[in-house]
Amino acid sequence: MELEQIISEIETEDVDVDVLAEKVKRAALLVKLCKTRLRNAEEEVKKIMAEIEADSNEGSGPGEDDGPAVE
Amino acid sequence: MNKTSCSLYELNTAIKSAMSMAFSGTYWVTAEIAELKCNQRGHCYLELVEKADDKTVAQTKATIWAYEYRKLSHKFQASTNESIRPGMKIMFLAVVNFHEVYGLSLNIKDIDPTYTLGEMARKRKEVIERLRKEGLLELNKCLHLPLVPQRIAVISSPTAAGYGDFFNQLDTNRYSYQFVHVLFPALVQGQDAEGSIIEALRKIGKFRHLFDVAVIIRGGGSAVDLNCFDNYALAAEIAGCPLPVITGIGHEKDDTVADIVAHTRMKTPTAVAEFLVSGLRSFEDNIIDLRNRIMTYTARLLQDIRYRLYSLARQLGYVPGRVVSARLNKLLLLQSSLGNFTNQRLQKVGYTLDRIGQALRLLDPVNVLRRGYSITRHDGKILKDASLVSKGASINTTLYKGNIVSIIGTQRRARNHEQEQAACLLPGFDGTGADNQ
Repeated sequence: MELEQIISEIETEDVDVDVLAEKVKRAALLVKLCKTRLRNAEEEVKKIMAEIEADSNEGSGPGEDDGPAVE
Repeated sequence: MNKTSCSLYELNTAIKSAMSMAFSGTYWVTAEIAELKCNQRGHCYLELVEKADDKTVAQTKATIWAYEYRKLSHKFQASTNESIRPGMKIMFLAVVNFHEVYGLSLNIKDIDPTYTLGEMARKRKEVIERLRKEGLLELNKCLHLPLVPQRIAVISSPTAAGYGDFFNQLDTNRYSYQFVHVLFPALVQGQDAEGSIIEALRKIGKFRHLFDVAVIIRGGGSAVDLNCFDNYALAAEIAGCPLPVITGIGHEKDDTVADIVAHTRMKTPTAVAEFLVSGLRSFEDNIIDLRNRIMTYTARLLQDIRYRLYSLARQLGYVPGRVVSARLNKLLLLQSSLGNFTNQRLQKVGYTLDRIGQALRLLDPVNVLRRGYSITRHDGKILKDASLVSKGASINTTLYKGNIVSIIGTQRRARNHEQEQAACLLPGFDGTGADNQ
């Protein structure tokens, strides 16, 4: 994980202050990204449904199967 | 041709009476149920078989009367967690019947569930052994469960009891994590469950790239009819699923074979949901921990740097002063020694100059003249040799005060002492005695 890498870098190496600032900035961004991703999955839902629907439309034909359903 | 014959009825009656004589009493028999039907009145009709190497070697009809069946099936379920159904091997207490119309049949009076339990255990063991041999037992466990299993393919019956609990638990978790879950409907109970679940698993396999994990859940309430989860085909399908499979089949007894081959086994659908939520939670905890460590470390590092800067600044405050004063002292020392040296030097030069001045003063022609010497010129040129003028020539003599013009009467040439005379006249003037040093 990139965050783990960052922390090992700044804890074990002699980091220049400018580099440190960059790394901390990057880490903060990653943390925010992860937190957002944990709580927002709408895009993912859309993507998955689109793909499954596309498949059942061309593959099995309409009405043949209940198909999966998103809850 | 005078043959004697009897009617079919007479024959069957004879068989019946012979049979009841020969097979009086009851018999404990083991057999496999091939078919089982209950009619509206609750009577149960079975087809019993015995197989050897998949060939039927014996087959007989059997009946369990309604009042008996209610009692027996209840007892059977209580101890095996299974209902009496086709494919099962049972040990039963039977009375041999022969009916003139319906022929031979066994009337079942009792069933011993421990035999079926033993059979089930033996079969289960065989299935596990087969899976082990084929390398399927650990196959799904080898899959890597993603760090954040957020996209979930769910196999369940929409009518199953645990189904609602599961989605509730997932969707209303207290950390507001969002899961993407797609239901792949299947029967999870009854005879068709196995094939139905296998089909759902295959479909999920087709969409493996869209999901992190597959979940098989089954309502928590009833603990009956888990048999399909002990079957080889379903277990093999779970083992071969390209996604990690988590089971929440909802039972308290020993793991089913499906549980054993699954990546992760949970007891109930709710437990599966909790497991998934806690997975995300531990991921976030880890992230937060990492962030805190980075912050703490950065703060400490900055503090260090600030302190270093501070101490450098302080050093800058007094170090230059020290350096400057040291330099100044040296300079002062130099200055004073320079003064002394210069004075000495100047004094020496002064003396020399005085001496030179004195010598110069001695040499000044005016001073020479003042001392009584005179300069004689002939034709404007200083006369140094008497032989250069002849009798009657005019010479001009310059004294300290005034000039004399004379006419030469006699002249005497200089002899040996001429040099001496010259030396007495102007000591040092011709360059031999004028060394100032």
